[in-house]
Amino acid sequence: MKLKLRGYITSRKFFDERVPQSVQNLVIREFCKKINANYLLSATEYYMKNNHSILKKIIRDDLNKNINGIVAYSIFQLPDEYFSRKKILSEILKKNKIICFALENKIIKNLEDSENIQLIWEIKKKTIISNNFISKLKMYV
Amino acid sequence: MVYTVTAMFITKTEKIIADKFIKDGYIILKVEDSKRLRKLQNFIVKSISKNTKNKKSNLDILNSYYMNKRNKDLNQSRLRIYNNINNNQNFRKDFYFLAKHGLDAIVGNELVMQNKINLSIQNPNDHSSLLNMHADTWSGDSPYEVVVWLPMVDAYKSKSMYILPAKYLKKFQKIFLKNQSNQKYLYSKLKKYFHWLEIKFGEVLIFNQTLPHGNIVNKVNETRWSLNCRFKSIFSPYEDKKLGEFFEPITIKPATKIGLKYKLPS
Ligand SMILES: [Fe+2]
Repeated sequence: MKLKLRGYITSRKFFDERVPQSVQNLVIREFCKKINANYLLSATEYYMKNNHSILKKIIRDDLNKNINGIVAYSIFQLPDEYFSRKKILSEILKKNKIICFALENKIIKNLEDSENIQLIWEIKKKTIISNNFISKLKMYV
Repeated sequence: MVYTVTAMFITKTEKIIADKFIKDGYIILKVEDSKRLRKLQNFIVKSISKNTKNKKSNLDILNSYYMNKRNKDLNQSRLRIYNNINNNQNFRKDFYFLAKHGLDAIVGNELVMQNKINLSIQNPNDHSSLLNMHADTWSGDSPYEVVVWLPMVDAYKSKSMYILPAKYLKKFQKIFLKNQSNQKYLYSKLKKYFHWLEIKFGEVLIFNQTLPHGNIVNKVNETRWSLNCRFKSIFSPYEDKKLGEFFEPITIKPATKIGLKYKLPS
């Protein structure tokens, strides 16, 4: 049977990147086509900084229904902080559901997959710090 | 929230509109051009029924739509009509002229308008087309925007929508902070403060989309048809809904056109 996945997009910037909501939906739609899943209309995360209420609502309400998981636009829409991310990922897995990230082409089905996501996150964070450091350093050269 | 108003070089009618809009967060006005309204309604009716010999009135055809359309097929039809509307060259212009003076009084006369007009069709007992309580600003709309909401049939009770008047915003903030991800909790706590809007066909609603609003399952035995579209002042701040991809200018005045092109002699 075809997977049924709830879309999840954001209305705010993440890592200083902004993607129009219509484009996020397009990427998600394409991804669902590729993995042959049914894409259910996206919920849009609140505009308020560091807020993940809508994602939590999907996990609590939608994942109890006849829905197999979530398809988010990008892994970088997850919370900024390691343990908040871990909590969200493990709550999804505990319910025997999956979360996919359309842009990065990833499907998270188990703890190992979710650790992989954490790793990518931490590397991204560190590279941003080092990029900032390098650009400061350039002022002295 | 207390709104203070300073410069007030406005007419009596503008003042009535402004005061009501600030106090309640919405205003219901008569459409300014009933011919254009008929044109829009005819366009929608023609999109759903090719049978021109149909003796039923437009209102009857729209209200009884649920009888021939299963809720499960509703979104597909909605998308088809939505595309028809937004591919029509004059639809947006006609829509704007139904509320032009109201918008002048509330927003200004140099405006951007949302590129696409939204269409909502709510059949009785259809759970799939619900809009939970929200403010548009929570998903990236600018607080400088307003929504123009135009019913194609009479909208009342659960066939309509609700809004939280501005005076209850403090109460809302407290409740929201406690449990912002639980829509059911928020709705049940705030229900008693909502205004349920009764808007007849021939009237148009302009509302403050920063205030919580939404709809519930339509328990009236008629289908609700409504259009909505956002407007803001051209030079007011934009949030996630940007100029170009979401909004486009519709009323640029000559002085602005001159200013945009102006270069000091050098
Ligand atoms: Fe809204």
